[in-house]
Amino acid sequence: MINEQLAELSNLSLVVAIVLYVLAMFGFSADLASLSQRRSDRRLAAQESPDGARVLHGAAVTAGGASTAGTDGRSGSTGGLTAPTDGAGERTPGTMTAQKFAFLLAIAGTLLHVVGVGARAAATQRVPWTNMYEFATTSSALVMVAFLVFSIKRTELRVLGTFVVSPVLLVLLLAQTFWIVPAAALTPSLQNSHWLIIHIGIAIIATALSILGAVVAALQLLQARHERALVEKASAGEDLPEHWGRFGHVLDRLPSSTVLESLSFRIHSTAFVCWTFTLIFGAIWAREAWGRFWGWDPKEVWTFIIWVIYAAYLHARATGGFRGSRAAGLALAGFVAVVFNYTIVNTVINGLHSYSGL
Amino acid sequence: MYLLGNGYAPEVTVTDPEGTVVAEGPIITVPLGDMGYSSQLVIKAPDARPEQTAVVGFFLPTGTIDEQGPRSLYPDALDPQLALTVHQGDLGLDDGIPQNAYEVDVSTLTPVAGEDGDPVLIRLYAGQEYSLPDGTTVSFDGLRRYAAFDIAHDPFERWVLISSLVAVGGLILSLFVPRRRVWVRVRPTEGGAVLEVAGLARSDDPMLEEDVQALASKLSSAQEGPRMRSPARTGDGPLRPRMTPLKEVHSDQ
Repeated sequence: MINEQLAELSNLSLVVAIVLYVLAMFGFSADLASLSQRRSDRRLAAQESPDGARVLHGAAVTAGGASTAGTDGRSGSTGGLTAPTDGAGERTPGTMTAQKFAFLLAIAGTLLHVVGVGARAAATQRVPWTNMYEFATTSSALVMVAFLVFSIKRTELRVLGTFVVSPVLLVLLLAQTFWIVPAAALTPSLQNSHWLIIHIGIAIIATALSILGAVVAALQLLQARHERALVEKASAGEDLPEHWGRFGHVLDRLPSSTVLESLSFRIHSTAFVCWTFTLIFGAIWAREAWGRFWGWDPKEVWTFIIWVIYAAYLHARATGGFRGSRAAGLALAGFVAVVFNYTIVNTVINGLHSYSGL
Repeated sequence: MYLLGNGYAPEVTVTDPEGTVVAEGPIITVPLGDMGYSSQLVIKAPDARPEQTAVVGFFLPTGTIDEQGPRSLYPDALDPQLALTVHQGDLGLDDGIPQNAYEVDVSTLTPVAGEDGDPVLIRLYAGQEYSLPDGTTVSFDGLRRYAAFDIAHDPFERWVLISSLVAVGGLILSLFVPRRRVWVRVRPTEGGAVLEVAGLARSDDPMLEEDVQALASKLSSAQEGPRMRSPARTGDGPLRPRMTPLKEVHSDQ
């Protein structure tokens, strides 16, 4: 039986989570904007004093140069920028910064998000992923949880907050607007199937990791282009090279493309393993339910396409001419396939996985 | 083994105006989905002369015909009835286009009419026979039941599963197990020996430095006497981050 109060609580939680995410996004964006401002200030101060210029010049050049293997050289050098000796508006430790504010709000939002998903599960007495609405809310919650887990330890990743919260917010808004359905019981054919939990559960993890990976890969592409441009300008003799104006300053503060690349690889490797298990468990369940383990159903086909594209990405990384930006392009292509699989295949294309009832 | 459907198969005999039996035996009727198990019935008799004949209608397990039309009140066969119309014309079976055996398009056929000119609506109880004005007869002889099964057997599917799981195992190993080469070199010097430990990773390996350091510590702590450890030297320069340069740790005895 559906517990209506818990269902109401779930909706309320998710709506409040949306509000908190919006505030967190403001906070993260303010953090990025103020970084840009501080860098401008420092640049101005550096131009007025020759000592400061050397510090900045060094930082600007390392922005494009080779970084030492595995270490976050960029963050190290820009870390120096955040503890300036010329007193360009540094805050005393312990005060609330925009980033801390945003991070706290993101934690609060994620908590409410998870509560919303959990309440829905409790209301319907089953796992919260049997229609598009529940799938979207659960996997976006997972994206946020993964981001928070990564960035609790690795604080240099918190600056990516805007770029992670935005797609999560978008997915939540889409879910609440277009895909929402009242909490209801499962159709009899889906009840009592443990494969529902296993197959769709791992698909949720795979989707969440793909979203996170796509964000990191997109940033990696931008960062790589930005770095190349800066190196060119520096070698052309510019003292304090700039590229893409304010957005470029924002990029300077984000982790280097090498760091983003290795993060993207790790996220996508796990996502790929999850997609593989999604396919395998789906095939086992299909054998049980439909009499064959593979029938070229549209969703089966598109999940396979996703799998192939991500496999190509992993191979590209190991191939000489395809590392870096080209591989990231493949990762983004894989993400496009994920989005297509979730939207068009579910709603427009006819097949055994039709979600016409959403 | 899968159960695809089940329902009723009334035994119906159709004879054409010349007296030839053109259809007989149980005919599968497809349930419409209502509570009473009203089922759609289609009999195609292409051998009827002078015109090909199709008998279309409903089988009603507990039938009634009222202002809502023919319908069944209860799914069990308490009062089985047939409600039929007969159509004649070209059934299109020789057109070369595959057709659904359970459906017929009556828009291209002519319904057999009664004296008043309206299509004849036949209502048959079990055991009854009806004669149409042109000589065609339809009789309801008996009632059978049917169930449809799908039996699937794929002798290789377990091997597909085993091989895919083995492939996944290999995938996990290849993605998450770092491949490294580690060297330990002992160089005798006056008063002892210098132990050099170096490592080279196949690709990105953020743990390499730490693990080489750990190995060097372990080796040097196994030695007695004074130890001198210099910090690991990281090679830089033209080497791209993908190929981690060698790191050395010196240990003196």
